[in-house]
Amino acid sequence: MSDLLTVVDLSIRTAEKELVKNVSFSLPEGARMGLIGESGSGKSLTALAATGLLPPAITASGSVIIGAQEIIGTPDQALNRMRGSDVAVVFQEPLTALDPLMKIGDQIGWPVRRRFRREGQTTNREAVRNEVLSLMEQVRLPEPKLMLNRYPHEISGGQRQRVAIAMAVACRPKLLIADEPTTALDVTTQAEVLKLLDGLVRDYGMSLLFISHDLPVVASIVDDVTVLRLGEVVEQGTTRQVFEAPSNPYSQGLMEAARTFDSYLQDI
Amino acid sequence: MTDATDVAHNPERPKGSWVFRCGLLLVGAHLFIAVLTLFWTPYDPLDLVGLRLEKPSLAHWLGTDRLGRDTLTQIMVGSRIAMIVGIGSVALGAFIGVTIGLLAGFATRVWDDVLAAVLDILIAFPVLLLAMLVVAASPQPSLWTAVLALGIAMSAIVARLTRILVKRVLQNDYITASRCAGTGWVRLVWLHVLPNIWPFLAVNFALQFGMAIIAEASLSYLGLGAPLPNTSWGRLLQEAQGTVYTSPLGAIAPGVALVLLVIGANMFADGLRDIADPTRRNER
Repeated sequence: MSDLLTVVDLSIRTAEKELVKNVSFSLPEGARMGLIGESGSGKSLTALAATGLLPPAITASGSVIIGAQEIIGTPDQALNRMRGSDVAVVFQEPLTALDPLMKIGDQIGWPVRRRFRREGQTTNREAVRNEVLSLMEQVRLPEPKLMLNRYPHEISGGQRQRVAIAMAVACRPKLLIADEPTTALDVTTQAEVLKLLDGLVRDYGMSLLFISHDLPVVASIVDDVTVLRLGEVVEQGTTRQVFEAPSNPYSQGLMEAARTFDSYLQDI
Repeated sequence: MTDATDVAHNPERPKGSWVFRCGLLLVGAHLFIAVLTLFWTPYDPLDLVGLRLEKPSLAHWLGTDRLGRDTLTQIMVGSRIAMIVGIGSVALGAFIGVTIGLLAGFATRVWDDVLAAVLDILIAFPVLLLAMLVVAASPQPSLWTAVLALGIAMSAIVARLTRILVKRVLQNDYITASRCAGTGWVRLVWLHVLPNIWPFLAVNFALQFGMAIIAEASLSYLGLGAPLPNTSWGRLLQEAQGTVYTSPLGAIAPGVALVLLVIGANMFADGLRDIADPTRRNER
């Protein structure tokens, strides 16, 4: 299996500070990897760099290759063709990731239309609408027909994240980057959304880069993990290895904290 | 929902406060009269239908001017110029300003700085002064040079406002999310940026409508506005100046018409802001 995403010596910095230092990892086609670490460890920046969408004040060096396309240093125009078809992102905060003035049906409809055009299919209203409804059913949004005309603030947080997932899946990307997709949700909803992501990734044969600080969540969905701390990779390995026998003191601390928290929960 | 760009999105928008409705009524009444004069006026605005400086009577509700023309008719016809200049110059200023503002908002750092500096210099000039410069540069004053002059003069403010609004909207996650899905720049503007900055621009346009009407009256008063046979409130004021002690109504009446329209436009803008901004909604 060839690698779909290859990150080599990725460094990300602002004028004053280096935020990510020499991060390297690779993700084979169809694989699932977790990127874990505490807040500010550079997880989300790494994900943004992979899509070429870093804010203008932040520069990246090194190499990020998706498919055969080098991302870093490539002009935006060229990357635009790749976005959606090769990679799509689900963001952490589902309320801000949806345009507050656009109906749900249109938010999902635009990526669908773009994919249809890319694949040379007809983009008439009826075809797009049917695909949107089918996507809404796949992400288990209730009453899809009513949902088409709702605005983001009219639906619940869990439903918003389902819409965001539908938008990402609508592109049929080879690689799905999920940037803390469950952090803003309550525990019950978290579990449902995780199950949904798990199923979709399997059904469409997507690769998954899952970013989180929540260890149990990561463990439940990925095969390999990369642990980041202060912008540097401190440990890489299969989920089992890292979770059961972490070699690095920082990962050990992370696992210990998670375990203590678990036992604390069991005591009460 | 702390982000200020999220403001306009509650569908349970109030239908508008009494301020908004008053504003709508005042502007609407002027618009109605302006359209009405295209089909019917009490007298011909340029005919000498009475004696000079007649007092108000049933035949001439607001009296006649120094040549014996009916004052009410002239004021009614004057609202036509006010409306044309107000709407025309705001539309022109919006077109130029929003275009430049979008370019600046999306531009690279250097171009953005250059545009911002140029806009700041333009804004430093009073609108009326800029407008007078444009009129002076044109071969002969007409209704359209006034529209052009005010539109250009006001476009700098629109451009700066648009630039800032665009920059703020572009920082939102949904823009990144949309670009992640492969949305190009043109579609990004059309689908996400313009709808989200529109409520804020609309308030500004309503305010500028009032400003433009005052500015046009000022230009006409100075003899730089729409020339004869157009009837402008500014020119009526200027003509009535000589007889203001003997027949004050000739100066008061166009002044009141002007003030009512501008107050109406401002109330309309104020109400529009309340509708667009839910954080101000409870203040009523």
